[in-house]
Amino acid sequence: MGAVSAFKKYLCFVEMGMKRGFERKWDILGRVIFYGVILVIFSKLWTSVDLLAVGNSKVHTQGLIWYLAISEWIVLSVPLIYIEIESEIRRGDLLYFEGKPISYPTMKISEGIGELLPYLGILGCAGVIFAWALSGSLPEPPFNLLKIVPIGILAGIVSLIVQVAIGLSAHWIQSATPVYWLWQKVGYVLGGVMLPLPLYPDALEKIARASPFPVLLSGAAEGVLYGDSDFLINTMGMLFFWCAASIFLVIGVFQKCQDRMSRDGG
Amino acid sequence: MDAVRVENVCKKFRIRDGQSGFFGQVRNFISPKFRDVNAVQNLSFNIKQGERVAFLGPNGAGKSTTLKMLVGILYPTEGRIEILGKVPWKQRKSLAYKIGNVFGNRSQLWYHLSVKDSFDLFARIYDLEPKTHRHRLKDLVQAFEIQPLLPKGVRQLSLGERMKCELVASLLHRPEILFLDEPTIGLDVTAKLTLRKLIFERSEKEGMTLVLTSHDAGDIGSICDRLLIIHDGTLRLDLPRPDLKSPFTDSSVQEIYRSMSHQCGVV
Repeated sequence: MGAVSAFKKYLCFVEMGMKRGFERKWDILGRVIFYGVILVIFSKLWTSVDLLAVGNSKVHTQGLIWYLAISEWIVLSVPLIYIEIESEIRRGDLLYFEGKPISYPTMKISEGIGELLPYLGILGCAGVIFAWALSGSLPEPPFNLLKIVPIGILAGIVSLIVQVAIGLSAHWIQSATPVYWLWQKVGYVLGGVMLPLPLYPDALEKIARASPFPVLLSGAAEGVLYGDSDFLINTMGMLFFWCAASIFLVIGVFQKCQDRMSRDGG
Repeated sequence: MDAVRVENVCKKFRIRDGQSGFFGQVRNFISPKFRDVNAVQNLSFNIKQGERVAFLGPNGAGKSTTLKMLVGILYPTEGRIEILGKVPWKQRKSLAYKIGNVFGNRSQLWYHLSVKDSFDLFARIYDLEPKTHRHRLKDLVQAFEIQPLLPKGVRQLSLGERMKCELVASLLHRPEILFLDEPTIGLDVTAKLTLRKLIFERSEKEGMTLVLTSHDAGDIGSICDRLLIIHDGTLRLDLPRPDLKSPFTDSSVQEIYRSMSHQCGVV
């Protein structure tokens, strides 16, 4: 099978995922409302707390609103594909995909990418409107907002790949939800979703920087907040590294899963 | 030439030996116990190209396990299997282009897509050229009379309609062997008759080898020309079609199976 033919094969799953994504207009609307609500709450909170008054000059309220808008944009756009994988494993359907000339994890990732794109597009537009309205200005320089698009897409893809590994864990533990919760909650803390990592205690910041979460969840937001000119290259480089690592993780988990399925049944 | 070669195949499953009651559950959690179950033992047979073969046996006899090993989604504990010269569990993906399968209790169609979109997706999965796919689909849609179903969502299909579509999906890439695991399960009499006729005609027209499992004597009598009776994971009888005729006219499978079992000393 040539690379072009393989690409075409999985591209049709991306198309299928996009179609599914656009069909979920009520889910998108719900996420947009939730997105707006948390931005309003946090913008009010930061205005009242006044970070400058507590001796921190690293950030300002307007910047924090953009920071939160960008990190939440990535968090809210990623579809929860682990749920479908988990239910396919529990129903025993995964075994039957093995009889098709297709890779199950690649199929799921492709479908997830298709779903991710409409979410990123719509929530991205909503985020810009909300953050602009709440902060009263665009980030400096405004061009940085365009730079975060490839970062958002790649961060979403890496999150999808990790979700495939999480979903496949259901083969051993029946329910992958606790694993996802662990990933999500640790991500919230170490990813700097609510507050930028430079505001963390030094030790916690070091631990967080060694994990994939900051680059996945707040890499783009930090770049916009601190206006670092190289942030696009640095963040994309780190994302490619974590993308490769998560692909290896999925390959390993899926091979174990395949061996067990072919030996003991689905 | 043999399409299927099976030599001394055994399949063991390791299953959890659970204890009941509260303390049993606690023991299961702390130190689970396992035991091996022989699903298939020393199974050997060959199937020629173009032959239509059925596996018959009670629940748990090892029919579906055998079929899953033949399509490559399970591998045997011992023995050797060759399908069209390929080892199914080692060359699973390349073999998938040459075989088709329908599992009666599993859907291979995408429930959130329309039937037409599902077929188009299959065409891409099997790397079919758009022109080839169009011609093939037109032919199958006419033969199976599913034109009105094409725009319908898969989740809106009745069981009989879905099974027709499942068959079309598995035939799109012109497989040399079609594996069917209880293809008429749950269907009404009319739907069963239609499906049997379609499967038989397609096999005749394309010289396609058929391997099917069923509990329904009608499936076997009207489609197959050879019967393999499996009991307790072993092959008990291998009967050509003439021998099938008398017991398979109107009898229930249980009666036939009982008479066969007596003949081969199972019971």
